[in-house]
Amino acid sequence: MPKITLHSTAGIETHEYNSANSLLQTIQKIGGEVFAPCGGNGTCGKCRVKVKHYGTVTSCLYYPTTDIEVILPDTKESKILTDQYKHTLKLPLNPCCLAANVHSPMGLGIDIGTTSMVFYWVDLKTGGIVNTTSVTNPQGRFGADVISRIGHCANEGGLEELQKVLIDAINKELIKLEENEGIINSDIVKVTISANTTILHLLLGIDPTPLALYPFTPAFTDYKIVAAKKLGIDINEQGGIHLLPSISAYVGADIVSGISSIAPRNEIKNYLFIDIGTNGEMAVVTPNEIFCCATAAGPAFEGANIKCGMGAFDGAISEYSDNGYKTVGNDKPIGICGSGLIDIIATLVNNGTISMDGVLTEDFVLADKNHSGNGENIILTPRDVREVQLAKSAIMSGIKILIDKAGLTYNDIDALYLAGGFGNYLNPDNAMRIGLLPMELADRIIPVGNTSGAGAVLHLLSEDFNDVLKSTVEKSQNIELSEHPDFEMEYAMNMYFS
Amino acid sequence: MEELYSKLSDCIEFGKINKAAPFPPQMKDQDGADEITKQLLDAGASADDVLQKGLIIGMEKVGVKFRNNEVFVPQVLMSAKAMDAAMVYLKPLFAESGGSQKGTFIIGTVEGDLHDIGKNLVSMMVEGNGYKVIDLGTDVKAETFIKVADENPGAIVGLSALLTTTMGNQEAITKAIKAHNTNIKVAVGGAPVTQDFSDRIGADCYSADPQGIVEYMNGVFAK
Ligand code: B12
Repeated sequence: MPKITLHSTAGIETHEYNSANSLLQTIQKIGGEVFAPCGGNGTCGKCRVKVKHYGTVTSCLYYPTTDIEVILPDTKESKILTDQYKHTLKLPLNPCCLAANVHSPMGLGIDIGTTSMVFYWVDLKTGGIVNTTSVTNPQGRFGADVISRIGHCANEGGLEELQKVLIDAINKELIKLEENEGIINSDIVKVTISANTTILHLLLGIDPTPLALYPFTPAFTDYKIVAAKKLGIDINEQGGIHLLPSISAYVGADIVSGISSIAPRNEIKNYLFIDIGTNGEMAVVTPNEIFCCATAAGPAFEGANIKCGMGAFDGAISEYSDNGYKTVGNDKPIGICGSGLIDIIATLVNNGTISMDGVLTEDFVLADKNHSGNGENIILTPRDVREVQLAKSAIMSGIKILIDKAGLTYNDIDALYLAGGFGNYLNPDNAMRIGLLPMELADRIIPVGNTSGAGAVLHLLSEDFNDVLKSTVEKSQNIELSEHPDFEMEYAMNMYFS
Repeated sequence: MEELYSKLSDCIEFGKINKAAPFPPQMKDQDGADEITKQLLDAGASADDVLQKGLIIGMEKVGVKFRNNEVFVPQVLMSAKAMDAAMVYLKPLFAESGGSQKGTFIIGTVEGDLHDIGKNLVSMMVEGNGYKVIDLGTDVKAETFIKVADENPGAIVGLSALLTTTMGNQEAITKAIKAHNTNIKVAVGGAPVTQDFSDRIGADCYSADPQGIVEYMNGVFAK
């Protein structure tokens, strides 16, 4: 067997490795940490590492066979093996009709999240992903959550503004790609968009106001094809913009796309699908039925409402244990991101600093101002603990109620797929310790990365994916938690850390 | 008797519903609010005394602890459940005697909004402090608030909203109530609501927690 010598902040170590694995897999196997947000899908280009005497490689796409020496970057790492690709559906290449008419047909898949937009450039001749880029969602300046953006539509011209910034952002990426990769607009024959219901409304310039008020009625949930020309998106003149179908106001196309993109192993019959974000959408998928809901956990794990909370940027405390903290980029700490928050709470609950019922008697100093990166104390406050209780209990209560609705118990759940970037970074043991995820499913948690984007790509590659999407929607039923008699009690009791 | 009152106030403070209830663990197998209220009434205590010397004392402690962040939603909810168990016996007696409660509080979650956990906590805390509470539920329209306020002269109206979008309805409803009768006092609350917003829409009281509205009402009805 060939040998790998790994240089990292932890030191230098040498191991034998199996040359059938990608470099990323090898590194992860021996415990090295590489940021791989797409889960080794070859799509995001984030897992680049330095190979001595060779250069920088995208480690998930690089298959070494000889003795090598690898230097890991000092950046934020994902410590969980995310083998998303293993769980993604595979379909034969069968792109849309227009693809046959141009010389080198390309498709663009876009996952428009509330915070960021991810673009997947797909070669429709080979089926390969040529490039993945991402920008922050420009609607952010009109409000961090969808409800605030819907509120913005009450202003004169607000809706048009929200629509325009999205379309401008898409066109800007199209121009960039033309400049960088030489792909011409007329070769792009299809755009597939996966997003939540509100964003799909905004993209089409349809008033989303009814989505934010009971009874939360969307203007549309079905699969839509709109002429690119009509929206002013600069691709092939005859090209279409495909919007994936949604289920309800708060279980959107991103979830439908995500569920549809997963191909569980044969032995997995019933499973949970969870996106731990602000809206906290989740589903229990059984062979014949899908029960789904949005638990509205709130943005605590994105850093909002937390005194020193922040996104997973440089200087964010992203890991914590009795031995201390680790930050993104190994910078001096300037705040706490979601994964760090979970670790901190779990550690403090374990050592009794936070009681089972969530009492922290005084601010807990993680780094004092002499050691922090911004000259301020980095702390966890008693209120922060309450915010985490509100958020984690919403997720846990949703899980329990959905499983119950499906007539199942934890024993019947064969897997828990954690979708979304956050799922890749959180420490599952600590997530279970604080009661964000059920202890009962300990050995069945599988982070799967950005499934919403994976679904958009599948839709570009194959017309057959429409059938999968359709079946997901048909099998789904929306569980309205606000009408559920047990929700209040469940929600209150799941706030404990026991 | 005195000992029973203090036991009852403990049951409210710590959320002990009845003997069978497992919560709170440290009061396992002890009598709860249900049993003790019955014992008090059997021993000849008046409904009013049970309220004043038992429930209100316990509820006030919970309210203050909640405000000071010593307890959180689950404990308050259990206290409320314990109070409900006592109220089962007291309510019919108050109805007979014409009600010795200090005043009336009408509360609801505003039109377009279904969030009611916070509203329920407020409603139970106010009730536990000796007020009659009329809970109109969720998705409540201005007309309904006005109609019920008219039927209960002197009542204070509480509006809860948890969505930034339904804060607009909170404003519209406050204005509609004030336009109908400026003397009706309106209190507003809910996570996104602030003192500033409350002032701007012309509400009479804003509080971030239930104890604040209780104190406000104690002030209004003491006069
Ligand atoms: C639980 C919850 C739900 C439950 C509600 C269950 C129920 N029966 O109420 C469910 C899952 C059904 C739900 C649904 C939705 N929710 Co919701 N939900 C939450 C959550 C997690 C906690 C809210 C809560 O109960 N807090 C605990 C209580 C005790 O606090 P409170 O309500 O603030 O009340 C206290 C004070 O405000 C005050 N108070 C309250 N009312 C009053 C009234 C008066 C007069 C006074 C004086 C005081 C007062 O006293 C209370 C005790 O201290 C929050 C997020 C979070 N982390 O906070 C989102 C949140 C409120 N929901 C949100 C949204 C968007 C929704 C949905 C519209 C969409 C969705 N699914 O995401 C839906 C549909 C809503 C509906 N059906 O009405 C958003 C609102 C965003 C915004 N900008 O407005 C939040 C903030 C989450 C988020 N950021 O996305 N939700």
